[in-house]
Amino acid sequence: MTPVTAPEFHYDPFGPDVKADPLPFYKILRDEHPAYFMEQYDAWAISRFDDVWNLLNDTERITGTEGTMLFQEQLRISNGGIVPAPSYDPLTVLSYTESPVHEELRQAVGPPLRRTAVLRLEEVIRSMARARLDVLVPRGRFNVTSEYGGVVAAATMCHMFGIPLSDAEMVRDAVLLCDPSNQDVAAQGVAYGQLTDLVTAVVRRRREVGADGSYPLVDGLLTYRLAGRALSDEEISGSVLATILFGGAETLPKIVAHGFMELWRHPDQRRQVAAEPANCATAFEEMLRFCAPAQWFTRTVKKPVTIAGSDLGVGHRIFPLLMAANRDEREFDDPDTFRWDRPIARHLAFGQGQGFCIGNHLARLEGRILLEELLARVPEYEIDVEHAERPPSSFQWGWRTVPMVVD
Amino acid sequence: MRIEVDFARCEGNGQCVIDAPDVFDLDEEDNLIVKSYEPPPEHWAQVEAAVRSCPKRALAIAADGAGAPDQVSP
Repeated sequence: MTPVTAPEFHYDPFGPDVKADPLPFYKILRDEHPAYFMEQYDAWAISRFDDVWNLLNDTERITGTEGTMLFQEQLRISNGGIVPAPSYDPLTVLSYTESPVHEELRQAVGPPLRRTAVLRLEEVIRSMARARLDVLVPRGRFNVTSEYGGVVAAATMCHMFGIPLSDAEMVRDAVLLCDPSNQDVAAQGVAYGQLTDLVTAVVRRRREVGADGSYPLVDGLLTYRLAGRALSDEEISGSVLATILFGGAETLPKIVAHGFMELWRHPDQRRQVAAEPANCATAFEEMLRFCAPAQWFTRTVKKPVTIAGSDLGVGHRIFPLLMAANRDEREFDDPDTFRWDRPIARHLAFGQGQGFCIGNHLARLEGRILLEELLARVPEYEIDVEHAERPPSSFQWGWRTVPMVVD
Repeated sequence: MRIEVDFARCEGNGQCVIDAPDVFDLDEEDNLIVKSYEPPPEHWAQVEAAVRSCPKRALAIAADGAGAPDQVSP
């Protein structure tokens, strides 16, 4: 008998098999290689919940200044152990900044994103969700991701930014085109330009009128001083507000659509959630844990650090694998099973620490309302799972098309 | 035990109010209110949970605080 040797395990976040379905890789990483070194990128993949949680909290030794969405071409070039200092003139992207500038920027833009302020949007968002269902339900079939959640999430961003609601579908489509894995670089550039132009125009109007604090999302950044100087319209828009626009429009629709698919796969759970609107907030937390499509954001080691027993050197990159952590059996019981009412003490769908999603309260409000309104209107829906699409992606592995059938 | 708050980091997410309602609260604009910076021992476990779960890592227990657990640092 010929001895059978197991093929050597190999993980690459940009490999076609990983992009098609990373979950089997994550299980092996967690169990056998909790700190997995990828020599070609000078990078470590970290997959266990506790390790990811702790490293995201460690701003003393771990930074985002090299970029938090480093792609394959950038990663193939070693930084030679030299970690760049953040650029503040002109101001770089918010997530690439460090303390104290990072916190100052978040405090300047943050008040309208706090929980109590966000809850004042409940009726606005609910009316948007109802208006969408008025259009979609009579059609009998629609894509939950783009036509329901996608429009409501983009319209909510338009409402917050003071962009006409009639631009919501354009914003939704442009955000999708900006996906870093989009191969059409020209279309990506055009779409990014469209979005930043929209936001820059909002900033310019506020500057002309006078930032009196009545429009806090923009006014706080207009009055903010970075080492004594005011930010330009383009810095406010490109460095800070674009991040919020993308964060608000891109991810949520995929989570909600995937969540509706899970409830369809488990009709008993769907009936339990639909029976009591208050259950939607609980179910949405499980959807965040189970469905959140962002796989990782990159970090760079700036002081030597030990993670999962491995010594990481200065300049090494880190992939904190968020979905791997959210499926860690060390943190969650039976993690690959969707259970709407599972107790969740903590999860990593919003990240953790310095970069913790500033829009988490808005996402939770929108997610809850989108669930409540659709389940109230069509508690018995079908999903045409044969025609659902989850395009391979190293970064945003989410359900772009989820056809819902109602009659 | 003495509580330290990094108000530059705190964004009023309110996780600490859930974990330690006897010690933390939020005002009407979601600014953090610390009801007692030196809480009595019966609240220490709550505070330790709040320090661990703060999404912004804005809470700490002073290193010199009597009874402070050694694993907690900012």
